[in-house]
Amino acid sequence: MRALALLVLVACTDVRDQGGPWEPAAEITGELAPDLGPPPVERAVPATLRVATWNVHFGKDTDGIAANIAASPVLSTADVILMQEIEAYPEEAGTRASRIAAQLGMTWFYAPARVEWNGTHGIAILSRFPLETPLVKQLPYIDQAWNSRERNAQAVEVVLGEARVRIVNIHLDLRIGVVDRIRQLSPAVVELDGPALLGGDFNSNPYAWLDSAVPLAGTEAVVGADQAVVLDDYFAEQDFRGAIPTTTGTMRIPVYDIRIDNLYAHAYEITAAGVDHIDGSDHWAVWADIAL
Amino acid sequence: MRWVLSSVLAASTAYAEPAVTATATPVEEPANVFYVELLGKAGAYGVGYERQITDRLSLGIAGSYADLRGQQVSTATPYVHARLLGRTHTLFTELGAVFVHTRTPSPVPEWEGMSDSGGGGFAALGWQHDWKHVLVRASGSVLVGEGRATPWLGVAIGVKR
Repeated sequence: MRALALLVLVACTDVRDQGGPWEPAAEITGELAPDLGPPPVERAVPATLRVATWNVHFGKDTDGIAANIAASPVLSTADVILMQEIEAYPEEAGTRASRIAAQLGMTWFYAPARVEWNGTHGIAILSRFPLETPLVKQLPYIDQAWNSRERNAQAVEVVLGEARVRIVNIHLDLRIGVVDRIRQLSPAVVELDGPALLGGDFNSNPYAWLDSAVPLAGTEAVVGADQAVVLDDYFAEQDFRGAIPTTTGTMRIPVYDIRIDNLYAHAYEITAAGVDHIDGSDHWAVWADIAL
Repeated sequence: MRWVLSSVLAASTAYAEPAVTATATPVEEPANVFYVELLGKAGAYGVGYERQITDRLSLGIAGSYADLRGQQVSTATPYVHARLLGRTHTLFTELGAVFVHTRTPSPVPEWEGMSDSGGGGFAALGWQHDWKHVLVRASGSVLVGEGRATPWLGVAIGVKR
């Protein structure tokens, strides 16, 4: 009882800063310098663009991840794959994003969010088409009781002949309530101009949180206060359409599935979408086809 | 585990007491309980009141209001409390309804925020220890509603008047 009371007292969540502006990747130097691959082999522009998002849970087994993607009827046909929770270490032969991308014949854009051990942890965009105007944005830092982390977003233009498709990849905090989640997400959404496809791991778990320490699962059970519902409402007000509904899980936790990953399209029509129950991570992949 | 076994054994021992004391002078039990709860049936915390209506049954209501980093959660929980076994160490069960209203004000200008209301039920099984005017409870429960069914735990401390 005393330990629980102490936990509640010390658990103090706060927004420490408002994040940073969208920065050109080339202007970021030092430990958090992004890693960009060469243009991929030229190919014909399709009528629809297949985009997928997959949290690869650190991406340590790069061969396994590449093999799983290649073996998947859905992900193997993806033109662009957004990855979250992927890392890079100096003792490894290139960033994990670059090694997976190279095996799949794709180019890459790895954007570290923070230093992790002697390497970095971040997000990546893999593409079968050239990438232009790579940008990185540090998101608002949410100070939590423990394990507070720097989070980021990355944006890029996928070059499809004369056309450009703006893609944004994002990874939000886990143990935060929905108000802080909107606070952390908003800067990456409102500063976008024009058509875009935004996706990633929004960590939109179904709970209200008692100071980033205790998930109020009982409250969620009664009212259905799933953060994914609120997130969809937020995106709908910005004229974004989600790829999959809140009832479609992208991660299995004990007893049930939750939807914490998704893709949202602004001014693009999603013609097909779904979840690929791919092995190799604690998340499944979400995919969507957008008409060009 | 030893704590659980001790509780069950203590409750079993205490259950034998009424048969003995029932033939002697009946003890007048306080009819009202006021308590505070951490987690439990009313969300993050609860403030509750129970009125005893028979030797084993009480009617109660617990409620809470919490501002969770901007998200406002109001909970009301009417229920029936039933003593199953024991007097000093008591095994009890509770059955009731749970009503929750959440309001999520927008922290950003481009969104209006939203609110939601829902209702459900809960069933709990717990242990209670009584002193003369004070009681403590620990319970495990299952809450069922519009979201899903989920297990839940709570502890409470109260006064009997």
